[in-house]
Amino acid sequence: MQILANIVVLTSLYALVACGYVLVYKVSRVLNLAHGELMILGAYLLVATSAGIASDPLVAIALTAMFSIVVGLSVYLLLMRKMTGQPVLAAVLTTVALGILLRGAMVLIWGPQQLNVGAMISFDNASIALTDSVRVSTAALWLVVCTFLVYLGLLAFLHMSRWGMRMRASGQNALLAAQRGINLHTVYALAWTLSTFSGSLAGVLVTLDSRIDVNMAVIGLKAFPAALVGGLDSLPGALIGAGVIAALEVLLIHYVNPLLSDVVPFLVLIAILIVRPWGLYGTKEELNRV
Amino acid sequence: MKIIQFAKSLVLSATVAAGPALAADDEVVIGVSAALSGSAAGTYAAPAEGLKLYLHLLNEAGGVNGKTVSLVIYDDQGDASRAASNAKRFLTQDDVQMIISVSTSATFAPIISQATRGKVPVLFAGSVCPAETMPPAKPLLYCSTGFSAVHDSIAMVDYLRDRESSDATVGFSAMGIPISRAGMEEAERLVLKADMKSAGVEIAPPGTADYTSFATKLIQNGADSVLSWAPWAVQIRFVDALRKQGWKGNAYVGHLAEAELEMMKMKDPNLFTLGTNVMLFEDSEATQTLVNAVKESGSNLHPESILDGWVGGIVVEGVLEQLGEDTSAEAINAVMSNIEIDTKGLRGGPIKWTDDNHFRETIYYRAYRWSDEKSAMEIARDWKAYEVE
Amino acid sequence: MSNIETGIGKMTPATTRRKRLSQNQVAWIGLIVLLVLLPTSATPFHLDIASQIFIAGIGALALMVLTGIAGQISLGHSGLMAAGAFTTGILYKEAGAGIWITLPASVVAGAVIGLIFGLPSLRLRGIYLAMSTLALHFLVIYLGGEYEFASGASTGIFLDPPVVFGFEIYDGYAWYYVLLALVAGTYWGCRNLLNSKTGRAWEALHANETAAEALGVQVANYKLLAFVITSGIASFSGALFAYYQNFVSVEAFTLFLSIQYIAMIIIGGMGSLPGALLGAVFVTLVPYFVEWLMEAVPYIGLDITTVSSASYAAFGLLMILFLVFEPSGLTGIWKRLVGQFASPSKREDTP
Repeated sequence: MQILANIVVLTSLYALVACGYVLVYKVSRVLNLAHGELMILGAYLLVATSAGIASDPLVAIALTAMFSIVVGLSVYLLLMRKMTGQPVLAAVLTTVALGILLRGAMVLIWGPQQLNVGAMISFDNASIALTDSVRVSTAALWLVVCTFLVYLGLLAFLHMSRWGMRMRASGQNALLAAQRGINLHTVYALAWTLSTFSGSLAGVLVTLDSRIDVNMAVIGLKAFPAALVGGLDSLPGALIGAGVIAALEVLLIHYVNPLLSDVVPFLVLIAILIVRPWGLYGTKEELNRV
Repeated sequence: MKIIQFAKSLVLSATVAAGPALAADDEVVIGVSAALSGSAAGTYAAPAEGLKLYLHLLNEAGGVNGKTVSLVIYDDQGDASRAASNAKRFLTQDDVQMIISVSTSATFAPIISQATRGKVPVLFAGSVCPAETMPPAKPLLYCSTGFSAVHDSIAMVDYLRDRESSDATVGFSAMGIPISRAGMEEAERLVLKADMKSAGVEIAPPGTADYTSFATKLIQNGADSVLSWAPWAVQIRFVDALRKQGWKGNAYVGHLAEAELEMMKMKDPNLFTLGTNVMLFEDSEATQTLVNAVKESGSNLHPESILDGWVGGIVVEGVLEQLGEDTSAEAINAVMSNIEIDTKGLRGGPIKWTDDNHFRETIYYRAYRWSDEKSAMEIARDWKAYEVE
Repeated sequence: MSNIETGIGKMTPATTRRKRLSQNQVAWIGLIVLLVLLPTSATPFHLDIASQIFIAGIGALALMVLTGIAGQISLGHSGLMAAGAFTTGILYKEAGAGIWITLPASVVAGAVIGLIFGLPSLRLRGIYLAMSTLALHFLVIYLGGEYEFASGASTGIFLDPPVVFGFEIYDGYAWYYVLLALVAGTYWGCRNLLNSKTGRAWEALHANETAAEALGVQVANYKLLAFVITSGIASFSGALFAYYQNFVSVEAFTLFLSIQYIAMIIIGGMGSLPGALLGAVFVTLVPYFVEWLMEAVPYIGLDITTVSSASYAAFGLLMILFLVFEPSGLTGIWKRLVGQFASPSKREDTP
């Protein structure tokens, strides 16, 4: 049972990270390989606000959320906006370069040492007993709840709000959407902002659950097969992909060889992609556009 | 135009960087390859600072017998190719008389390979001690670092047997790098030899972000206590993961640079560290000197984290004291292969090297823990000497 | 096949082509003479950098053919290099094999892995394909790590310098000329390949797979061929890397290395073989340049960690600047410069 709980928590983490990839990819066909770094930047912003501005944990988290929105917006406006119209590969490489830049900058500002961010905002990450034999930490519970809320919110936003509709339309056919008077730049900026926000949220929660250092950005890479298995442009797909990858990882660690937990998800990814090249829930026609 | 200027500056950079560093007669040039950035910087950047700080102060005080030290520090990011490049640069461009490694075990192969070719001694100070420095030691390779996978494991198992019941089940956690795996598999062997049970060795691949599942497995295998030997970030996240699942057994981890500060925050009386360095909560003359030096340097580093590099500096000083007129790499190696260095109260005893043993003849371990009663760190067991065979 | 040659091959009027060729030839001869003479005024440190550039150049050429010409994205480049390095290292350690066995074996091993991991390319494209090549990377690294651990080589596998015809290649000068010859040979081989039927087929399937298929190009075969050939070359460069650095260790082949190779072909200029070499030069030199810059700029009270992480960040920044302001890469800049120099003379030629 504890294993099941572990799978659910890990699924939530990967899903929350993966939805950041999906949001940006869905509208602009750009794979944001700096997502892991942006996620950890969110967590470091919490370190900064809690140390410098607000000592109250809730205020600090709220401020961090605001800052992460600013970060997402500036990444698009200052950098990715210039890459629209460029070959997709160049845009993807730009995000790789951004990742390297952010990594260096974060070490520069916060140092290479691991920090205990939970202790900084006096967050007690107590162990909560769900049943006699199943326990999860407070932060992990928050992670599950937040992932659920974020997905609910995003799905409602995309399917019910006017801007959500515009985002989907731009994703399906950018040219047509632009001709219909949709401001593509606003749509892209919105996608980057939402993506960075959800990523930062994941970063804050996962670092509250353990510690923070720059290497935590590797979670971005781990959540990657999750987004792909599900199909890079499908939110429900990302959720299911996260479930598949998380279950694989946990079960491999528990029953087979933990060292395979890096390799096997990618092999499964290949197998799934060979059967369904666009992922489990991805849109088929987009293949020609990649 | 921008690009042309850039190209020009590139050419310029190559020429400037390549100017041969000429050593003055009374100056010993030492090359330091350290993981100052990249994923391992959290562990190795601080000891590298400690080394630099100690030798800087040594130079300011006029050096040893009129000899000063010139440090050439290159970042290797904990990456093997960069370390190889650095080593070549030390030997061909900087003409160093000694190389110091403060980096990951991934960088050892290129450093050892190049230094052996160039017949320059290598001191591992802050890097984990490679097997090549232990008996039978390979020539030219020396280690002053306070931790070593196999010896720490021996001391940890020995201490664990003191504390735990004789039929306890012990779990082990390692990181998926050869040196950590070797240490923990040795520990498991020792535990089984002592007729205790093993809950298995959990090996987490490098870059694991979530240790929950690894911890679950050890708990379900009935681990009463857990041993871990890996970089601090890995060890401690593993302990976190165990505690998050309500596990209350004793955890034994290696005493690494970050230990003291972190343990003071964690306030976990069932967490023990085994190591060869002192913690700085004990006010001694040696610890005072170190703490003051860090303060005066204006650096924001924690004094605890630089200790192994600082000891490396003490070793260099000790070698220079014994060095005569001849300051060649060969002469330095000759001094190093037979020397006893006083660790000035920062370790349990001296570092003694012989022809066959470039690690330590006797290694002294101390156990520390957090005490709830004192609400402070305490010594759980004082120095115990282990002969190195 | 002839349809493709007329339809898609880049045609230039025969007269200008001959003339440009001769101009090019002069430039090439000049470059070769320069490169051959360079070591006379170089320090060992320069030679080391040059040798690193040559090894990177061989790898970058392979990736350029695969990605820039045949249009197949790969993130498994570092894994392929590791495969070559490990084939060499294992054969040397277990069987004491010499360079005449290890190098061909590395090429074959790379080609076989390339064939296996080329298979998904028959179904996948673009980003999805790139991700499936990531599996290759993790698999090779996992297997290499297991070998290292099982063989007790906790600090990696050591290699002695290779012996060729009784001559030991260790000296920086020897390596410089050997690697220079090898990178020139690889370049020459790739260029001939591109001018052949195979090269045109790759260009055709890069431009439009469906159209290429319709024109009679056996897309599947040519895709796999691209993977096999370039993987063999990449693996070869990995084996050279192992010999040059005298060791093999999984930890030398990170994902970041794959990214650096992609950076090389992008910065060099997609689709251009000289671009691959320029990119290799640039990406290899950047860290040294940043280091020099950090030393030249006076800073007070900064500790070494600060300087190093600043240099890491600066590397990212440089890449960004390049991608944003020079998207056509170094080849584009080169062409523009040549155009500026050439234009006055052209004006004289034409009345």
